[in-house]
Amino acid sequence: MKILVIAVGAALMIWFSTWFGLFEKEIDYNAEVKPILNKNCMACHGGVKQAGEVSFLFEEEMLNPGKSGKIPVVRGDADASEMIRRILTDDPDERMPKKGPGLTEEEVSTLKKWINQGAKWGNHWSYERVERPEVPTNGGFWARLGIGNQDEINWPKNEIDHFVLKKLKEKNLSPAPEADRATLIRRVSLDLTGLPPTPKEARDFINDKAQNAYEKVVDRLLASPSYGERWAAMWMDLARYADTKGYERDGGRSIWAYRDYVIKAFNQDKPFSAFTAEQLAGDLMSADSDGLPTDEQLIATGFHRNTMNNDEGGTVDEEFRVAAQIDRVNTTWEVWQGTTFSCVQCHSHPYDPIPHDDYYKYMAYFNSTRDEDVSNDTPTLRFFSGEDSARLERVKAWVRQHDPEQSKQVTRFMRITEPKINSHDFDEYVRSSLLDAKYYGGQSGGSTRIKNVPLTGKNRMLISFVRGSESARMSVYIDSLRGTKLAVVPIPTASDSVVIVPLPEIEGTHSLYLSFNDPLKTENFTSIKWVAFQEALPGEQAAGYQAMLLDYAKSLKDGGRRTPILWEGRDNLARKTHVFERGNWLVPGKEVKPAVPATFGKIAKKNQPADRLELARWIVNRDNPLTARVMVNRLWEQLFGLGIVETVEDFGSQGSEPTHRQLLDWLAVAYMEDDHWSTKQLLKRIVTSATYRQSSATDKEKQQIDPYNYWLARGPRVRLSAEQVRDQALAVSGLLARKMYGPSVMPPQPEGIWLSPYDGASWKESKGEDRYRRGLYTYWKRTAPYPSMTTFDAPSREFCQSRRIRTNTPLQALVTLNDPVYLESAQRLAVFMQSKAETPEAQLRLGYQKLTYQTIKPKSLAVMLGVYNKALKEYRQKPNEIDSLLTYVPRHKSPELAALTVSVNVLLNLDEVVTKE
Amino acid sequence: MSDINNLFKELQHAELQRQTRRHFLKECSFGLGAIGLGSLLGSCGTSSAGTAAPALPDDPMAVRMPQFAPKAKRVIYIHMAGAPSQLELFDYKPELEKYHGKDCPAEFLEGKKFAFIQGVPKMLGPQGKFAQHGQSGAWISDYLPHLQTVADEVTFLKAMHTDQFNHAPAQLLMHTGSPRLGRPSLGAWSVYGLGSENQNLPGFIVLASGGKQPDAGKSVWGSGFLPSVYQGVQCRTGGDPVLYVSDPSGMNRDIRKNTIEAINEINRQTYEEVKDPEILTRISQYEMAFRMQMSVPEVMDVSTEPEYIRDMYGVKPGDGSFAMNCLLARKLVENGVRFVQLFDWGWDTHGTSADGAIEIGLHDKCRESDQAVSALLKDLKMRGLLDETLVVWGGEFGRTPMQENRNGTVLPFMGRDHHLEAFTVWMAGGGVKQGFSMGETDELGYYGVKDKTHVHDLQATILHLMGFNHEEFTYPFQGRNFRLTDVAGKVIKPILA
Amino acid sequence: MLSIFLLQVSDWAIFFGRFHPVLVHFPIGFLLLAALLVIGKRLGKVSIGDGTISLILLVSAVAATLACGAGYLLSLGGGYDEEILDEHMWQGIGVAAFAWVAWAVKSDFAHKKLPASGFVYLPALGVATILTMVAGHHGGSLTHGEGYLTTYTPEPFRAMAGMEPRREEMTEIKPIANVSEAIVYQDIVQPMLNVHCTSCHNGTKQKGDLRMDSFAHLTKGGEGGPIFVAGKSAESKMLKRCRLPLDDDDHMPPKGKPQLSENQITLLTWWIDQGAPVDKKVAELKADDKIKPALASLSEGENAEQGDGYNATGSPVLSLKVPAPDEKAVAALQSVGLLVNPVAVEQNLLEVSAVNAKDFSDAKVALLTPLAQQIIWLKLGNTQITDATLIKIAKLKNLNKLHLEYTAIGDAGLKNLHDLPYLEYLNLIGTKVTDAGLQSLVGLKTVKNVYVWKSAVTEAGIAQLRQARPDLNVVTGLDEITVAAFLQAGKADSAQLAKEEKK
Repeated sequence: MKILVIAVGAALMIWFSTWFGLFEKEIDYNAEVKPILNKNCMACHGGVKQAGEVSFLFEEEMLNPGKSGKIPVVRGDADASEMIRRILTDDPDERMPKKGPGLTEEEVSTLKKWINQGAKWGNHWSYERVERPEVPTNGGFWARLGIGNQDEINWPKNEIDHFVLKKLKEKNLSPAPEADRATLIRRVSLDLTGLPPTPKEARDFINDKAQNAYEKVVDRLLASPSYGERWAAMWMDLARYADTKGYERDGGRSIWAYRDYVIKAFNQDKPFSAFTAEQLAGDLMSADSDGLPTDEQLIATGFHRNTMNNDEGGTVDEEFRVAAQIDRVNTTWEVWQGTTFSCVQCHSHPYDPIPHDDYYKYMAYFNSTRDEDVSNDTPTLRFFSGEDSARLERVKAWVRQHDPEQSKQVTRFMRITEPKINSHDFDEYVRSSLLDAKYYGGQSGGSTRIKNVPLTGKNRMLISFVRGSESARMSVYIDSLRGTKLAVVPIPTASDSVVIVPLPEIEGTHSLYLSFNDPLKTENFTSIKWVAFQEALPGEQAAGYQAMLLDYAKSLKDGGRRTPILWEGRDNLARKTHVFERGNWLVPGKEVKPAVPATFGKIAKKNQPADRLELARWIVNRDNPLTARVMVNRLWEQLFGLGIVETVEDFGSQGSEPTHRQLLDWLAVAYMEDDHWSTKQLLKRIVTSATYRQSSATDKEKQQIDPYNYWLARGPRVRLSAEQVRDQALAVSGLLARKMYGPSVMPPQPEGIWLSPYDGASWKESKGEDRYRRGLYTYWKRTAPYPSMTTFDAPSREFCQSRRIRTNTPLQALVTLNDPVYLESAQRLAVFMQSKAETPEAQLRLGYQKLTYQTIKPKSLAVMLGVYNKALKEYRQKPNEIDSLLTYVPRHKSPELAALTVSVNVLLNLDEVVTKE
Repeated sequence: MSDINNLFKELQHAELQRQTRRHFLKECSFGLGAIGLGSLLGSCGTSSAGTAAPALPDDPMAVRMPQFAPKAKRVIYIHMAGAPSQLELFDYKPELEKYHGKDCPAEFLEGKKFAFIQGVPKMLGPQGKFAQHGQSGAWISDYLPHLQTVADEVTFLKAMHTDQFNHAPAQLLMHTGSPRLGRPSLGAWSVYGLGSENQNLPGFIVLASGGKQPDAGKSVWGSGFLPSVYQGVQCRTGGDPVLYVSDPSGMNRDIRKNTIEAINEINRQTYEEVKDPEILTRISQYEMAFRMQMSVPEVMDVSTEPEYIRDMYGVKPGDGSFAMNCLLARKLVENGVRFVQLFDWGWDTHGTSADGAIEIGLHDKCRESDQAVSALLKDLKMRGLLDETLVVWGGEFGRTPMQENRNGTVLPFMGRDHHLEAFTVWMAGGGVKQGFSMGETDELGYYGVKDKTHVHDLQATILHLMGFNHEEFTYPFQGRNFRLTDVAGKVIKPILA
Repeated sequence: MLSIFLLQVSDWAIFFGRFHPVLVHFPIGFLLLAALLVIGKRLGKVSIGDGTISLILLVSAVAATLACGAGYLLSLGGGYDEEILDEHMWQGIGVAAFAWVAWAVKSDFAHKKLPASGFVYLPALGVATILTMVAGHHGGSLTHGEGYLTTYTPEPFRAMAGMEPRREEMTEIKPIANVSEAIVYQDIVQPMLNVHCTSCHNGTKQKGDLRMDSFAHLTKGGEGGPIFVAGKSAESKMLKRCRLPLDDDDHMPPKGKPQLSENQITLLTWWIDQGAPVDKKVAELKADDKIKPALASLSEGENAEQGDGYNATGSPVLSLKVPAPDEKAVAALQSVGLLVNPVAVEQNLLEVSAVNAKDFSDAKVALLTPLAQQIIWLKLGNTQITDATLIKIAKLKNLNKLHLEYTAIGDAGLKNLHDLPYLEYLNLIGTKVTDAGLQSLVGLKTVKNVYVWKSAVTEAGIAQLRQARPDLNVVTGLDEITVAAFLQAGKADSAQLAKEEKK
């Protein structure tokens, strides 16, 4: 009897314990639950919609009762959870999800288990701080003792390989052998410098018996100036760099200084942390004796001046200023956080826990910059040269001598012309209009208002006139048109001139009214670009003051080389930031202060970044979960053609899962802690791995198991980028100009690509070596990009784009077959081949060698000879065709060269040539 | 029957040859285009995430079926860039005649923005002589005498309205559904969803006339965030019809043929070694490139057309005229091109110059285009093409009932400013009613008062006629599923045949 | 101490409370077991010692008591239907009580003390057992909602139990095999209503006092009076409400519920205009062109409609249900360069086009035959085919559009094209077809447009055909003369003059 009771008791215990979930494995929210929610629920119960006041976006939301008063998720009790009931119910009116098929048994039981286990909430993996994972060990016990199969021990060259190998074993795949040296040096050269190796470089490597032969090559490539150009090319897509402003006018914008900054930054291997900070907030960095950060830091802020500008008539500048701000937020998030933030502009993030307001809190960091969609792209950093710089120095010297305090402010103004008020902000027009939607213009008898100007200690008014006429006068009143007249200003006849008007000492903030009078030309417009209010320059009594003032005024005129920069507006020029209801800038909601979303790293809570500079530092803080992962993944994608997270642009829960999460985290930590953000170090790590060095050849079986090479059982094999295809052709034919930096160039392009109305701009074909510069330097017009670039998948750079989706089209074939660039290359290369080898056979061997660094296979050679001979026959019969073909090498005309040119045209189009093997 | 079976066998073999990387069409041929490749790929496992930018099919131009059986298999979209005046052509306003020369009523100016009008402008009466035509009794002015003869083919939307009063944003809105740059154009969406029928021609072809590109540049036929392969291919009437399509001088067809064969032969050898399916794709692309080199110049050559057909359009061989483009448009759709986009520049009649004057510039533009457009309709009809081809005609916005007074001054010629409240667009063919008119404006032609239709409605309707539900036809970008009609648009059901 | 612990709903309370669902299963199980054993024993089928039974009783009594305790604690959490909860509680307590009694009287010592207790034994056990079931049911109602057990009671037990006959959960309309024989109200209208209306307008639920689950109720109307006027669809509330914009509060069926498709509305309208007969067949009513596609769609239920009335073309052929095309056959056509594609997603009907296969010829036409059912649009223009091909093509029963332009076909071939019940479009441009051939089309009742430009057809021939088939539209083309006429258009041009003046 006792026994029975005990037995029963025991039975009960066991039964109970299963209810405790002791014998059940813990459900992983991110891996198992979130995907189900995203797929089935979030569309209606997420950031966009909260149907029935139910949402699963935030932890607290799912625990609070919805409209019905029922609680979606009751921790520990699936049966009491409305969510489960609604999923299981048969009532068609109640059943969830409303549309589409119900959940599968597994999905339901997963959800139930999860709830019964207490519905533990989890942050998405990529939003958790990166920790350094254990490097897996490979090879069996014996193997490690040096007994038995050694492959697993011998193959790995560094940590990367251990992670990769582990996965390979899981997938029953095995790594491919190392690629032959010729292939390898071509691959690594194209990857690190964007250019193929020279024949000598290739030969040296192939013959180098040293243990570290490959490392030497890598170091050489990382040190070469081409390295910076290749990686700048990648960065340009992210920075949406272009040489025009976009929109209808799409007029030119001179911002190439920024492009050069990026090249240099990569070449100096500037730590990614500094690289980031300078681009986002260089203008806020510590100032030198002139009251300015270094030019380099200022130029770097061009990153966010690559936003589009709309100079068209009738457009509201504020609308497009806001559009630019929004683009800056989206771009910052995509580039550094790999997070699609744009959706948060109109509502909370559909899938990831980011509330709507956070978007505008973040925008607040950028919102006070002085750029206002003004057509002259102010604020710009001006570079002085020649007489200009002499003038600058004279003024600086004078001010320093009389009042060192003031000198910083003066220098700053001469170089950046800020703070100032752009005339499009004037209001209360009478006989006035915004001329050409650019600058204020007033006719005789007209007037306008400059709102709320702080005048304390500002006894000088600087006015930049577009043009005037001898008879025109402008009067300045305070507070109203009937207020005290502060000054009468004769308007200079010269166009574009700055006038400095003395004002009486006035306390506090006032509105000023300008009225115009032109008795002779009543219909004439007097047009103003900007006004500024400052303290008079010191030393008025001293001799030469007037001359100095003249210098000052002169140096404030337009002209001179300038590049757009970010410049923070202070005091009355700082802006309040409001939430835009449903993302509509015309419907401002509550005001918000700068802050970063809490989801990203706990650090946000502790110390909120106060300004852009601190924001930049927050982004590259060790605790930021995304920055390093995203950058590492980006570089990986550039080398392997596929990111560890395939969706380079989206690390959120809608992005694809990382194939090698451990590896990604390990690299991210190494990048931050071991390499101290040195990109060269990181790249070296990757390209020296055995994984990278694998041969890219595959076979039916591997193709079956892993068609996209997710698991890296072979080396990367991808078509060259738009820039690389072109650069390679120029390089192998010896045409490529190695000139670096400077304004963008215009290589030959077909007629009629540019036909922009209201804009004199035209494609002026560059002369001399500028015809043969690297693709990176080609002039980029947003509304009409260089044709062969877009054919090879380059974006138009209107917005930031993380990935170029590789296509394979006949139009690409037509480019490499018929674009004059490739014909010229073919002819030059043909001449070279002729000069270096006797027989056609030898010449073709040489040509193939020069392009692929391989010896041509007999079968291929036979084919090539076939083409050559047929062509030769043709040209022997039709000699006049030779002349029309060989336009670039008139001195070498011969049927043989023509035939050889045709053959090279074939070579340049071979798969192994346009592909990185 | 056995012979057929044998046939099957070798054909299947051939089929296998064409198999390439992503067994895309196999895995999910059905539903392709239904929700757009992107969201689709999410659903058939080639890309793990729903809103991740999707991979591409082997042949991004492979023909795909729409969501439901289409009425229009092809579209010719005729855009009169600069915006023609509806008040001179279709929207007859006798009342406006009375107001001619009087000050514009204040309520029309309250809080309104115009590109150039300032102060209080005068009203401007209709300049064309209006009459009703065809059994449908469509109002068409004598600016368009030929269109009068085909009035019964056409459906008018007379209360169209838009949000943008500047050319570039308005054109972008019309063609990409958004006033900002960076969105795919209607044509790009079409080929993305339906692919291209004729393997030897691009699926989306653009023909521009009037001496200038549209104000918004190539973006109006761009692919935006769609893969660049879907952008419009501009066929030029001068130089290469398609960029780089003609062989370099001194390289004749035979040589070119040899080179292509050689390239493919060696590539095939490479494939045997490395087994990268991408190579097979490249081989087929080179074959197609070669065919394009033949077919593009062929189809672009109008000299093969009988003379009276050319007369009908009013084409002089070799001129890059709008008339020429109309004739080409017909040839292209006849050859199965999916979407033909015509742009004719120079319809922006502000009255600042003779060319920009309603009574001169507009009249001339009408004269240049009227005959050709009408001829196009007749030609399509008699070839049995019209009922599967949708023809759309319109500008990016309308023109004001007021005469423009730029900078408050009276202009030398009659002109009208940009107007977003009301304009006319007409459609004909594939699936729309014949001889029908929808929408009315107020007595001065300022506002639409009945059956207003927005640009997004027009787009929704065009997609609908091509077999797509504009709300489900999306592409994921920056974490969002984008669609042509943004978040608006209703199919204009009354005009559906 | 305990009392405090009970008063405030501490986590402990909930924690133990949650064991209620576990514990309740013991009394249920054991009591039933006990009952069975006792019955079995009475019938002499089982031989078992009373010791065992009383042990079982003991366990159930204990378990029942625990269950009560846990149940009470659970109830403290709240959120339950008070009424049912109350009943449930007392039933539960009852179970425990009677279990104890049953055990008490069974157990030896009680037996000795009061001999009469034997009589109490069976009733107690019985009551306990019954209470268990009732309590169990209520328990179920509490967790799963009321009527959880009985909702799906099948007939005839429903009737016995005197329950409302259960509403058919209609989610889809069954295709109608022979539409013309269908009774309009019973087979078309009511099923439609069952899917879209009766869920809120039925015996149990009568929103707006309206029932739509029978003809009588339908004609009776609701609180707002009758919902339709026989013969006058325009004045019928029911239809007006269906036609209101979806966002309108009066729109029916309400937003979010499955909506009536265009076709269905057309059908309703038609039925009402025809006088809303209760017994008439489709064939007996007058059918105009507008209604035909709608009727056709019935032959395969609602799916014929894409999305919310998104069906770009009304052609009946599109509502045909055909088997999926044979992949081999499709591949075969594709590899001779033909385009083969379903006309739409989830459609088995095919379009086949030779736009890329100008060399397509009679030799290959056999490849079409395996897809005879599926091919509805066929484009063989500009190919090498001859009359021979048309013999095979004639077998493609479901052809809807046929392109033969610029081919060598002539009258001989054309004659084969009789009875193609869906053919609407026929392109004969640039063929050898003559007037004679054209006449052979008279039989093709469904053909709407025939294109004969540049064929051997003459005006006379066209006129002749128009005589026979006024509905058929024969399109011919322009020639030098007609073009010249066209060019004359609008010579008198006032604007021209106006412009001259200006200049």
